[in-house]
Formats: sequence, structure tokens, C-alpha cells
Amino acid sequence: MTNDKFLSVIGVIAVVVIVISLVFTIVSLKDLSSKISGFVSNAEANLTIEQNIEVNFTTRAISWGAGKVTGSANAAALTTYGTNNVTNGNWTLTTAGGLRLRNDGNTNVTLNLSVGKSAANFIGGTSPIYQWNVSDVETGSCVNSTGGSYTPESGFNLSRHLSASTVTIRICGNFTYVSGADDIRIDFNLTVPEDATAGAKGDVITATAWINQ
Amino acid sequence: MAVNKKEEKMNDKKRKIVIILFILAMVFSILSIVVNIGVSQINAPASADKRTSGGNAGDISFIVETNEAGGNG
Repeated sequence: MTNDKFLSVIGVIAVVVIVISLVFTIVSLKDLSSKISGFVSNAEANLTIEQNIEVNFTTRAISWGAGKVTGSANAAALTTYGTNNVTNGNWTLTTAGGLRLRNDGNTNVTLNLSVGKSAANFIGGTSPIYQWNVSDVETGSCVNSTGGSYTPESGFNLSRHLSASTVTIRICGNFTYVSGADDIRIDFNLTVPEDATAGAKGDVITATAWINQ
Repeated sequence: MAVNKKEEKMNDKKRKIVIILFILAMVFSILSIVVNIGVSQINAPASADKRTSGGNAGDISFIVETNEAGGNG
């Protein structure tokens, strides 16, 4: 009888040990699966290239230098275009062609843009105007989801100026990364009233790119 | 006598079962230890960092000179 009890105890202990071992093994295997990023099957080579989101200003600063509104004019117009970029003033644009932004990543992104200051805070004076205009440098840099022309509500056209926004807004739903079609420009149109206060004026333009997950 | 033989047979059976269970327990224990050690030595990140956004900034500037005609503040 004593022998019988002893066998039973050993048997129960063995079963408990088996159960505990199984539980530990399952937990370890679950942990392992979280450490492995991909599984290989059928002798396939499995390579994962991570998404890289990177947009860079290739022209990151624009300056018109020092100048003033022509005496007889109510306001001067400053733009970033190649010609006629200063009207009714004696400023000189150092780099024509706007800020240039390139998608240096490996995925199409949605591009948001914002400026740091309102027209009043940036330029000052009576009825200042602070506008931007986004357009392709390389054709097809900004497309819709099917690769067609992108026509968002905010406009994406060289001929369309919009008030620069301090609130981040979407300017391109599909900014492509393909070489030869990954470059856009942001031009500016400023109206400097003759009563704008003297001094250095500057603003920061922030581009934010993201992808839908 | 016959009862004793039957009991002995039963005991033999029980002994065999316990031995099998004991061996299984040993095997699973060793397996568990091996798997645990193996998994703990894998030094892979739990999940690769995935950037979902990026950004950059540019700036524009100009200087307004004092207007001698009385403008510019």
C-alpha cells in the first residue's frame, strides 16, 4: 500500500512537471514569435526594406535682402519667381525659384505645410499679404492615388496663390519618391505695405510628411 | 494467491506508467530549458521601428529699411 502511494505521488509530480514544462515552452515560443519579424516558407528568401520617410528642402532659404517700398507706392510685391520678383521696391531676391522640397524617402507620402507667422506678424503694416503656391518642379511629383493629376481643395497649381497657413494643411496627397518625379517647389507672394515697420522679417516654413498606416 | 498475482500485475502496470510519466517529465523539462535559453539569447528587436512621419523646415526673410518719406512706421 505504501509502495502504491509512493508511485501515485511520483506519478502526480511527473504530470505536474510535464504541465509546467509545456506552459514554459509555449510562453517561450510566443516570446520567440514576437522577436522574429518575418517567417520564411517554401525556401523563399525573405527580405524586408523598411519604409523611410524623408523630405528635404534642397533650397531651404529665400531672402530678398534689404529694401523699401518705392516712395510713391502704397505697397511692394515680393515673389520668388525668376523674373519680376520685386515690384515697387528695391529688394533683390537672392535665390529665385522658391523653396525646393524633395522626397528623399522610399515611399509616397502625404505632405503637409505650415508657416510660423501670419501675414500681420510676419510683414506688418496695413493689409499685408502672405501667400504660397505649391507646384511640381518635376512633372508627376504630386499625384493622386491612381497616379493622375492631383487637384486638392487647397490647390496645387503654379498659377494659384493661397494664403499661407499657420495651421498645418495638406498640400499634396501623394508626394512621390520616384527619382525624376520627386521634387516640388513652394513659391511665395508677399505684399509689403508702405507702413510696414522697418527691421528684419523672417518666417519658418515647416513641411511634414506622413503615410497612412 | 491469484489475488496477489493480480495485484502484482497492477503494480507492475502502475510502475510502468509512472516510469513513462517520469521520463516524459524529464524530456519536457529539458526541452523547456533548452527553448528558454535559446529564446533568451536571441537579441532581436521586439519590432522594427517604423517611421510614419518626417519633416523639414525652410525659411524666408527680408529686411524693411526705414522709409525716409515717412512710411515704414
